[in-house]
Amino acid sequence: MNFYFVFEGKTEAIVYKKWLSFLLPHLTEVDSFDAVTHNNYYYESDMGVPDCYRVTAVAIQEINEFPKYDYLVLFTDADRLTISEKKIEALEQIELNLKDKSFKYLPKNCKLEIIIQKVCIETWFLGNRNFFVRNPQNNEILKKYIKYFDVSQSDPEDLASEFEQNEENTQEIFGYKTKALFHEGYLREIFKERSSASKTHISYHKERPKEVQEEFYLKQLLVRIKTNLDHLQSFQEFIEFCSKIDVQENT
Amino acid sequence: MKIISLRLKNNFLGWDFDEIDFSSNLTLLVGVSGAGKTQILRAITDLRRIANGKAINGLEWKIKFSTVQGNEFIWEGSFDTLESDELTFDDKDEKEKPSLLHEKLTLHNDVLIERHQETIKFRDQQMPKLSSHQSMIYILKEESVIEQAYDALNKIEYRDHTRNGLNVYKMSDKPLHFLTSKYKTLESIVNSDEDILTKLYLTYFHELDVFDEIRSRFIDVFQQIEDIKIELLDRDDLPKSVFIPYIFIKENSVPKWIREDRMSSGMLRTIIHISEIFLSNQGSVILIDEFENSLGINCIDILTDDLIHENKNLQFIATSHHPYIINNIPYEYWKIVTRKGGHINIRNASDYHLGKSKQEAFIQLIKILEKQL
Repeated sequence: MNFYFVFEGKTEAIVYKKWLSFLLPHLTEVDSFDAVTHNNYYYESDMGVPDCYRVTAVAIQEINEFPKYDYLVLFTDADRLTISEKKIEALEQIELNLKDKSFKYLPKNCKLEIIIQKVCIETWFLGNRNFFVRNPQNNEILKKYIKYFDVSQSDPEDLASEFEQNEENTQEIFGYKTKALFHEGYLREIFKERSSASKTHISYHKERPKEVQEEFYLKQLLVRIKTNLDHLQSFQEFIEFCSKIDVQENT
Repeated sequence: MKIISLRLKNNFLGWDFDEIDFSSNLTLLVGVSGAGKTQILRAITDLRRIANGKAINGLEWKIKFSTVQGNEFIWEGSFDTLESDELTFDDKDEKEKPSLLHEKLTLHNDVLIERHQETIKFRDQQMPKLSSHQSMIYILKEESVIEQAYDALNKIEYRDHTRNGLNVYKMSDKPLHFLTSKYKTLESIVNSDEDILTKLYLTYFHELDVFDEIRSRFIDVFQQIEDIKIELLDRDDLPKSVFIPYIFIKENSVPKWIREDRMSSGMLRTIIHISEIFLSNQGSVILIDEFENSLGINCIDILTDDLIHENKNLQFIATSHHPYIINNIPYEYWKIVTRKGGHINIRNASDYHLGKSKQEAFIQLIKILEKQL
């Protein structure tokens, strides 16, 4: 089976590629969209310039020109939307971007999958209980966050779920104007606390994700969804997709 | 200090803008060239100058701000307009300077200072005749309640990255040996009024942990760097006994240390920016003109993230034309600056119904700006 992945953002391109090497190790990357043969994937990313729907529409053109793909997979954040709202938005936006394109649909043998991170990929990263610091020593900001919502106990997807931006954009949560930024900020503080506690420098930067792409980190997220069956539902959907592929490959 | 809202008019230069609210610790001013973004930042800096006794020709202002102590001040005033070639009057004869027509400072709802030309009241007490060219905040800065407002306004810092902006970081001729014994702890360094490079030197000199943190953050951005150090050097244009700190970096595969004047301007800016985050006075208001200047794609992303996240004790007001920066700072933080004649419009993204989806916000912004041309 061959895959065409479209990642929204830089983080996703780095992390998913690494995770897929653990989850679907039989897949290998190719450098050009017309180079896939068997069990390959090719990927594009909007590189942090919010443009993933246009990138997806172009991917549909390339897949039609080189119809050897089984799946086109778009990875994107839910941000302020629910998963189903985001899927509807994605489909509408892809269609809009296809208006001036020659191919309006994928070839019959190729399916479109949309994997949504709710709220953003950092939400999933918050799910690592082993990495979490329950009693921060140095970090007053993290203490406040944990008091407000303990991501090790409650589902990170629900972090600040009540937060809604108003029409004037004046609402803030801990100084953030969007929920996704607060999720990222929470993760940054966990990394800062671990860094100062262990005296070895680690930090989380969206553009240079390090620890989170490693197998030990992914494994902890898998442990989390096994322990808390109702946590990180959107991550579970991604894992189910990978299992489905694995089963299809082996039958 | 945190600027909550601001209204300004310059009768001498002939421009004004309506009240802007700066509810957030980060505000990104976006607009076409010539819309007035830099004008806004300069005008905010002018307020600091007024608080330090300077007269600004034809300026009318009203600013609401809170201090780190949690007090909320409203300060308003106006200077008369002199027909002259000059905007500021630093070294002029007293008589030639513009005078304050009125000035008022309110703390919560208490009027502390009220001045109408020659009549000045401080806490309802009539004051003797005082300089008509200088703000009462400057004149009464020894009074504890006024001192708080004075200190707050002195936390406004302007970073000009447009042309040779980096030279402003070079301090003059302070005796550093005196500073190293005066400031020994992180707290005293952060709370000092020294410039950021001097502060960085002091943390290096005293081998404080924070220097290691700054170094690590810098290496996060530029992974080819293995170390930073700061050395004191003399300079041809300064007296022989005067030494000033220079930043040096060491790259992995390059045997020699690289001095700041030979490193890329993006690298130097990154060190300064990270140092600002760690070493700025709590409550500093940092005005950054053209944030993107000299930043390559290898550091612009991380520094943009820092603006969004590392502002818990600081307030950033930045301008940018760079699509990457504008795209990566959500539209909720934008203020869209447009201009019609001398009137500068500053509006929220929501006023233009921007960003029903993230994908469309930037495109919509371009459309709005195109219409201004």
